[in-house]
Amino acid sequence: MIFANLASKSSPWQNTDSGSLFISTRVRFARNLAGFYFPNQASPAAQSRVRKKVFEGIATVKRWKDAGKLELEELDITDRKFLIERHLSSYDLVFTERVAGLVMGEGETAGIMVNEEDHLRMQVLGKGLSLEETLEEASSIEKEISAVFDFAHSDDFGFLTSCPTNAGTGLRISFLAHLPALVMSGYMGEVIESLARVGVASRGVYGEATKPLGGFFQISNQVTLGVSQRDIIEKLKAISKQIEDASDKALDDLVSKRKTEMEDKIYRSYGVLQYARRISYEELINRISDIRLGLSMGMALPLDGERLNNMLFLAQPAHIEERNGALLSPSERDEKRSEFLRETMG
Amino acid sequence: MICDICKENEATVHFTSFHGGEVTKMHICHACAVKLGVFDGNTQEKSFDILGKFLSALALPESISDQSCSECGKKLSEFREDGKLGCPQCWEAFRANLEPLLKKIHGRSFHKGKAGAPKVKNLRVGALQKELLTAVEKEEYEEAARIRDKIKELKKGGGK
Repeated sequence: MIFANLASKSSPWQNTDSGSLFISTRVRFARNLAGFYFPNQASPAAQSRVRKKVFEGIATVKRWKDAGKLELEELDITDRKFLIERHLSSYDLVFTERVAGLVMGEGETAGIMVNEEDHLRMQVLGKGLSLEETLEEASSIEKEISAVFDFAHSDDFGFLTSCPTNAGTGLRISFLAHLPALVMSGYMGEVIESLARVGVASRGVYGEATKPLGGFFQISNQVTLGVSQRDIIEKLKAISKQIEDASDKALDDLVSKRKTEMEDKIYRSYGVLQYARRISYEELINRISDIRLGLSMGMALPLDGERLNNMLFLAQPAHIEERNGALLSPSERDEKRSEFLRETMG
Repeated sequence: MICDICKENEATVHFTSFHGGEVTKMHICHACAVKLGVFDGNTQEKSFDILGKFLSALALPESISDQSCSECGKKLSEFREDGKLGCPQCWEAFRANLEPLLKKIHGRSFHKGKAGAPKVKNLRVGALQKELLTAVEKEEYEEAARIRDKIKELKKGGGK
């Protein structure tokens, strides 16, 4: 376990404004080196060569000179889970047979996954809903790195990726939104279905193949080919606005029809967070979700966005284990989690 | 493949690990992965990569004859299984199969050009065309010719 230091503070890209639906924005570019097999097809030796080449090449770019470079096989399971919890890595990067790596930029807002599904997955995280700024930052990173490597590209298909779902721009933009009112009012199913129809995906907190918990959804573009970066960003902007409107409407509706029921649920959640002696992470997410909703309804709860973020983020399983410095059983972890909550709530 | 830990169940989680100076591969089953905490309390579950399968199944009927990429050896039938191409050259080797697939995923089978750049170029061409009109209207033919050449040059370089 090597991340004890990081494990006691939240990531800088988390929105501390609990009145906002939008937690964070993520932009990632998928790129492959010309003349090399894609990671899945490459032999372990070839995967190693690519990782070495990428690590060395990136070190020549000023911004990445002092960046941390991790070789995934050296990390234990807690470290690997920690990277996922931190949104620095996908599940597929850390639990893979491939020779994989991770370059961590300063301040944890930018990173490069090496030998995930593609040779390079460059990602930038931004605070709240910051589509333009985050794309701008990611684009300049992509530009700097493209000066060092020759990326596989064709006029017809754009950037050549391992999976056809990423072809063309290789660009995926997503935002993490908290939509409990839509879930509670029963509209979320319709929202997800409608998003899918216009080529927008909704996933769980940790991205691909994870289930949504506590009303947190990751919303992202599906179409990457035949569109420009501008098209993608305009689409997500429009979608985010619509989602916000729908959520506001659902909340007004809930407050006017089911106010007491909601207040009861929210105060109960507060009580659980304050007094529970064992709490699972899944339950924690749901309780925090209630409190966040309560704050957005204007309820007077003695918690703010920053503390809520800490409770949500620093109480993740691998975070607790990293701080503890040793493996814990699930029930020990649940106990430590409730202790941590009481400390944070004061 | 059998789980390295319980030696009973089918392994579903695979990863590399560094032990005693050597990189070894770990293959463990879901139950042991839960015990080790790979899944516990969190939301990650090993995906079946069903998306890739859906997509390739959409565009690649099982009846088509198999072929492979001359560069990396990836077979079309393997692509149908995992939805992943083997190398940049696969895009050419399987072009005829990929185009209908891309259309189903993205609604189009061709790249629009790396964003920003072509648009900026188009904007510039648009602005220049306006200038050209103004110059012609003012009968400033030398200026008009200069602008015309500039537009030509921009359009020529703009294929990508």
